[in-house]
Amino acid sequence: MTLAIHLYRRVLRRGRLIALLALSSIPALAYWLTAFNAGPDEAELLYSTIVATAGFSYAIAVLILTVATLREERDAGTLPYIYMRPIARSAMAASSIAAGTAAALTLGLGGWLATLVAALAVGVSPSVAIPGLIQFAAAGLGYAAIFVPLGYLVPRSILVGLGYIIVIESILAAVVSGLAQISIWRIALSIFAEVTPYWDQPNAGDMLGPVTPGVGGGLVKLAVVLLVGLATLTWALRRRDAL
Amino acid sequence: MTDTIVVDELSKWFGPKVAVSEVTIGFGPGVTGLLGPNGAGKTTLMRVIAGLQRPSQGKVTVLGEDPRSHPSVYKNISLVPEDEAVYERLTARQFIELAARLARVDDPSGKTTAVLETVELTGPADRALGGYSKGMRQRAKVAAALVSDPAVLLLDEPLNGADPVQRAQLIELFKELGAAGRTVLVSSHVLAEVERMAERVVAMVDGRLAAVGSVATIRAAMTDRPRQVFIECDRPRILASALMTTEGVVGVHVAEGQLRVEASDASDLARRLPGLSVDNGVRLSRVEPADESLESVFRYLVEGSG
Amino acid sequence: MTDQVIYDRGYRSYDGPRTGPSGARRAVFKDGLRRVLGLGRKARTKVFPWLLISIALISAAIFIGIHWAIGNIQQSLSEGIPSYGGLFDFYSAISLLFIALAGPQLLITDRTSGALSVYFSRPLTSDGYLGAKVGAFTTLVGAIYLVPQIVLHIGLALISDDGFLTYMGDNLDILWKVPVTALAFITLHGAIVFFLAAIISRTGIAAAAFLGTIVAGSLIANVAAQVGFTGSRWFSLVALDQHPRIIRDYFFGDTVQYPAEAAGFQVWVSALVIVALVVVSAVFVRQRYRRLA
Repeated sequence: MTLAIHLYRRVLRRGRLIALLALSSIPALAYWLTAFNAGPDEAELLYSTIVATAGFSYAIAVLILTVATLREERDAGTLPYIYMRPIARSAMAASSIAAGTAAALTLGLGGWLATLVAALAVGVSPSVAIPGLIQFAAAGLGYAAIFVPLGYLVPRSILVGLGYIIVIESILAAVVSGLAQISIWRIALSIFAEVTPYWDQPNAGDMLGPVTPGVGGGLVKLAVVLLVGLATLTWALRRRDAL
Repeated sequence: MTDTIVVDELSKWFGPKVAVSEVTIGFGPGVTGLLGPNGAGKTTLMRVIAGLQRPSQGKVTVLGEDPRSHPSVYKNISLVPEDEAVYERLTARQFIELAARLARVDDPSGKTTAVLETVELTGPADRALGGYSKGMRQRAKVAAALVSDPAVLLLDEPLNGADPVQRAQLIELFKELGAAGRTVLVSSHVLAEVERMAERVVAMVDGRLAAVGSVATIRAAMTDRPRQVFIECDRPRILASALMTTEGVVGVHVAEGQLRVEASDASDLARRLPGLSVDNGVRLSRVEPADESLESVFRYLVEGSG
Repeated sequence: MTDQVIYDRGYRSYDGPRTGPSGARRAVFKDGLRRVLGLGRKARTKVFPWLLISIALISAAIFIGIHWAIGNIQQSLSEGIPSYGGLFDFYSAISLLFIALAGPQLLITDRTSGALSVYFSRPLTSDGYLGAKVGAFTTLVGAIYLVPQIVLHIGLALISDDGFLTYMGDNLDILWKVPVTALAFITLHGAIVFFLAAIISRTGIAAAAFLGTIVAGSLIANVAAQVGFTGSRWFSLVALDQHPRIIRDYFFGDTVQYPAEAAGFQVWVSALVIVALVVVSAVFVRQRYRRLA
């Protein structure tokens, strides 16, 4: 717990948090601008479309934040203060991913709150925006599970993560069904799609692609992603040089 | 007495670069100095012992366990890294208390206050580490290492950045810790400091062990052989004649305005040289030991043991 | 005895050859190429750039394969199978990632490692230094854009029913249209990435900021067009990535209607936007590095 809190605080520095909150709020801005002159029914459906499409800015914000969880400790030379502790490596991995997830959820909460404000500003019921929190939360959890180990293991982790988001999740997953099924964004979207009563199937459904909406399936996939991330980071902490 | 740290046929390489080569040694209670020039492999050896890096070959155990596979042993191991890196935004108190909590120390606050007193950082304890001088940071790092009351203390160049007073205080502290039965391994490239702290010295050159023994043994080995000293001056032959009659000078070679002097006791020569120069009206422009580098010292040791 | 050293060496001159400022610039240029491509460095630094280059080359091979499968280049072109113009779009994500890799690496690493003071203690002005970096960037990104096009051109010529030389002769205009289009992409993206790399201190953040700028611009332009408030047509110019594509379409034929075109702007406006960005970026970066020198 101490470790998770320490890493969380270290990753969420004020300047960085403000900039990344701004990035995570782009869906809110996009929603406000597009729903401004739309009719009430259209505005309700637009919310899911905007979250589904413009929400990639949140993915990039989570990437920048979560790859830094352990990587910054190593780059700064402070990793020994964490590594040389009587903490099982699996617990250390869990704490690190928990810290990354908490940071991602903090960002997600900010991004979602911005969409709630935008929804209120365009005169739409808050109930339209409330399920959006699920999208931000689920995506944040999924991305943290892969980006925290990525930051520890790989040099140029932000670029590699951007390559994953832009090339694999945005482009390839749109055409390759198998990739769509394991796309973190689409997994989160599948949960959101099932929960929200305002799902815009023609538009937001396009982003979902061949992935079937479903809470159970989405949660199972997220759990698998989390386990894989945990196992990878545990292995790395045990087997790879810390410095 | 059983060794606390056992290093068995340890090698560590990074690609084509071999940092530590086939080192077998044990460290027990007391202070051991790990001595060697830059690039000798001291830091790498320390990092492998600390479990921060994996051996490429061989094995290391600390208190009977491999730290990498049994992290519970970290309850009794602490490292003061060579890097100056600390958490700039934390105060010294927060930094040390974090170390205490991560090490699962009982009463982290109380222990933090105690070690702050030990390293004399109580006054500035609530200032951010980012504003500390090098010496203060070093003391904060030492405090963070001590807060868990470890049986094994690994100190990588712990006196870097400390002023002479701080150095003296830290040296006394490390000696006390060693006397109390802890295993203290201190690395340095400064022989004089190691001599003050350590009862036993392990010398490394190019990733290999060059010598192991007490400081006295190594010192004696160093004074067994004549030392060479280069001298440049304006009247080399006058100085050469004066030196030939000086006790302790074994030989003098004059070439191109330079003298190469062989002396059985270089320190004695150094004391006598200024007086000789003044007495003979000689102006010195350069006096340099030709074989006083740590590397040549260890070369002598290696040749001697070979 | 170790501390008893008296030095009176005096100045020792170097009598070997001196390459002067041009040699210094060449060294900076070569170092830039090596750094981005990971040459002379650990294997893992080569993975990312060479993977991107391979994908770009494979794209050209895919295009050649498609045209070959159809069997008749003129027919395949008339059926809308893309060629030179379309190839720019096909691997645009890859080229953007490569630019996001190259730009920050070229500028930020020297600043944060303290190497700038070493560079400027040599016969190298800040302009010379930046010129060498721009040269390295242009060479690298030019290669990413042009080499696959060259592969495509030669491949199409080889599979052409009219024969290699006839195809080449009939398509001489490709030899200037492709480089000019590539130049539009290089200068626009270079201006943005160098501007960001001059102010951001971490390579990963600068890379993300570059990609974010491209994405955000498109988003703002699209949203502004949808909303349609007063003056919203000017927001269409903010979709920066569209401008080289508009120039590309001017040479190779329209693909889609970009926000600026939909807002009624002509191709010369896109060229002007690119030039303006290059000028602003050049002035800013130059001023910044003059202060650092």
